[in-house]
Amino acid sequence: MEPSLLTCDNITKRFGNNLAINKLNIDLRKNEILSILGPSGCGKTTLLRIIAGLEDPDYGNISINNRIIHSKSIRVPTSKRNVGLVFQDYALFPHLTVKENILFGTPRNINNQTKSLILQDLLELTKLFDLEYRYPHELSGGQQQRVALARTLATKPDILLMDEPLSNLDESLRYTLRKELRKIIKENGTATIFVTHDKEEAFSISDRVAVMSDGVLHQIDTPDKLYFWPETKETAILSGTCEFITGIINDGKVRTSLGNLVIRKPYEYSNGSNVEVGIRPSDFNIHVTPNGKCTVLDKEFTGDDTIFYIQSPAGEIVRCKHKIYTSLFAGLKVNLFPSEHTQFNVFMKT
Amino acid sequence: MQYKLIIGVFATFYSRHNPLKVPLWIILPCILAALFVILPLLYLGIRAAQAEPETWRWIIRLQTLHIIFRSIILALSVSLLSTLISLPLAFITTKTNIPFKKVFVVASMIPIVIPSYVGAYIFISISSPNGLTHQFISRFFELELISNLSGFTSSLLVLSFLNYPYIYITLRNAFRNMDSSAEETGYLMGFKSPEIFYRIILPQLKPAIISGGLLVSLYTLSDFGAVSLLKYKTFTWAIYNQFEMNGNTNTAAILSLVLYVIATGLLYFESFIRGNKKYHLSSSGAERPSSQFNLGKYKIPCILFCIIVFSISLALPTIVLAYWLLRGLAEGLNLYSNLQLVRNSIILSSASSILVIITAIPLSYLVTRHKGLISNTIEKLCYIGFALPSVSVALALVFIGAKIGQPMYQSLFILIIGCSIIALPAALGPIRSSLLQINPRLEESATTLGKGKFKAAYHTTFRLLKPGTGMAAGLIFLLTMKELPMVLMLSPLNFSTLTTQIWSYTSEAFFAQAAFPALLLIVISSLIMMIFVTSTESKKI
Repeated sequence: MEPSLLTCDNITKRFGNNLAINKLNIDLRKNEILSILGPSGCGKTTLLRIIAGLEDPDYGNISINNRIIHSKSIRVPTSKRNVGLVFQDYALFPHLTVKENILFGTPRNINNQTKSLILQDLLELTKLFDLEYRYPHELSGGQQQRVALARTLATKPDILLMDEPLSNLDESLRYTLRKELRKIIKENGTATIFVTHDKEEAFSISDRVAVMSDGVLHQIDTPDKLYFWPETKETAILSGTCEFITGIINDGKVRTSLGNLVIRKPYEYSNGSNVEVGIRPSDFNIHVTPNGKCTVLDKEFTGDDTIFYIQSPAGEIVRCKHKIYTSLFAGLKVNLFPSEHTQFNVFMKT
Repeated sequence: MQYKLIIGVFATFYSRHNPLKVPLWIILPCILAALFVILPLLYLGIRAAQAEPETWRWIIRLQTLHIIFRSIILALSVSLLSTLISLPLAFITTKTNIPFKKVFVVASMIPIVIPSYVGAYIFISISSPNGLTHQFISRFFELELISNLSGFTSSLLVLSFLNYPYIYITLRNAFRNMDSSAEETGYLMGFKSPEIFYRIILPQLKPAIISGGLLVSLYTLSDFGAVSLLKYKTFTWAIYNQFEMNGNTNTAAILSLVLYVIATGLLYFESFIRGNKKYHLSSSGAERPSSQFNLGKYKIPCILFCIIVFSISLALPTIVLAYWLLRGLAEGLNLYSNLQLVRNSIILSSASSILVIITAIPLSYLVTRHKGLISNTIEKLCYIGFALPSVSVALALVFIGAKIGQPMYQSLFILIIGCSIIALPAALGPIRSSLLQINPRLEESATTLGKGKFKAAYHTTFRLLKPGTGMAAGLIFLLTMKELPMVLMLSPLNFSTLTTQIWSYTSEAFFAQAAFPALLLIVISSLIMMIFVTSTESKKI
């Protein structure tokens, strides 16, 4: 495992009575892209601003490369942290050209030749050729975003922080840019924290994802582990569509209104415990049969998938995905069977 | 060396503890500004406290109450007449399809640069028993036509026709920012144009009329030149008289405080009736140009109205001044002596503009970016210059200067400080509103790129603040150009400006000699006014 580059230790931040971040620990490894995924208002932007030194935490220590940049007695100012931040609205300097924006943070004492080398490298990396003399208002949203990235990379930061950099762009652009962004960052090799509320974005762009809600960090893991093996209910909800049905543990399985289901880590739960079972849309296959125990309530066609809302005999509603064209309709009786090799995640009832 | 050490220790202490989380370059000028601004008020308070019981008895005499009454009546009447002039003018030049709109807009604002005492001088030179009208008429008829207009009527006319632009400007902004969807709704409901005006547009204008009227009232209350020339005895006249004629500073201080209380009362009254209501609709859609009324058959009367206003407020003064100038030239008047005055006026105005801008930027920063109890208090303090007439500020500074002695006493420096105290509130408006439009992320972004806090602000926000700062500097320049009592009372020996020259000639009724400096003053101010009106108006007209 790569050594830690950034360590945040026990970070707590209040705004008045509102606890924005609660005892949060997080670390960033070298060359890694880490996403912080959470709903708006969960404290993820505050965390970025604390790391950048634009806000001070109430408690907690932060260090970069084993050098403490914030603790009770030490406070390194933003300008000396060597941390780059790309803002949600990019904050490009409207009075400067692309070139001047990109070179804004480069040290004074380097000569013009070096500067133009840096500029050429970054223009190439971010594909902004021929735009260097334009002003920010003459650029498209995607171009502005790449200028903001190039401007930050020009200072060769130890850590790159990105605050929802794609949320101001339209859907199709967002899709292509997130691939491009990953490529640029990986090529450049800067360790990055990427804040987003979009799970697809977080999964596709990052090596690891940290799930956060209400100021609390729930889990840090690779995207697929988060999706398939969520450790908390919050993680299950934030990492993808998830419905919960109640069940009782019975001999390493869970008894529910949809039958006895195979669970992950059966040894962790004792017989008779009341639990909730997380159901992902692809966990069940639908079988149409006249004496089915479940009822189709509604269907939703999204193009790539068709989602069925199905009511179990106990009245619980789950969502199921069905890929092929089908004449299934509301009111039909069906049976649900777990897909092959599915291990269900269960959470203790609170 | 010791100073450096103290500053160094203070700076380290401040940055370690930083109780406000505000950078030193912001908080230090703000505290200094607040101190300078509060000094005159403190001084007046101390003076008033030292006054003998007899003086207090003098204050509550009927005669004094009468002066209070006269001042307030004049302030209210001037506001009313100014509203009556500027409401139709603003409507015609903003919401209708009148031709030559741009010319009319600029012409409506220009009277603001004519100092009130110049207006008074023009008025006297026309209407006095030996004045122009009399001379002109008696050439053809054997008539004693012009009666002596009372001091009240003449002050009312002069101050209204010169101060109405304050209401005009706020009304014009209100007209332009008005959401036209309200009017459109009115049309959809089947209202006719006059009904729309009375039932939909006029109610929305209430806050603009109130705040513009407040501005005019405050300027009238603190006006000194016009009322004293026209012999209408108001507060400022009494303050100046107590100080200059009787040398009675304690009485002058008490009178100043009473005037301050009245002005502050007006300010609170205004914020009380305006309340927190928001009259504009905040629609999130694209901005549409506000709708225009078609004048149709009313076009000629509307143009006529504008022309009548402009001939009284612009053409008449210019013609009269030109007449006196020509007459003076025919009598062999020497114009070169005025160059020195122009230089002095420009030095004073530029120095005050610079000082005000240097303090107004950190002040606006504090108020917009670091809201809190302390910044609120400092902001409130800075508006003292708005409610305290310049006669009183000058009075206080004369004595503070005398207490300190040389090199402060009768120095240009203290005069510049006095002018800046009076002008500071006017600069805070434009700078603060342009600061509000600049994204604070720009500065943060510069700090993440490795710039220190001051450098970050300097490279981003300061650069973008230029238009607002320019506008504020122009405004301060104009205000200082026509400032009279401050210059009269605080000028160093042998330092006279255009204003003091005009004043000394007109108070002795040497109209021909006063004409050239007055014309120079108006021309210079109009040029500056024109530059910033056209630069800000050209975008949206």
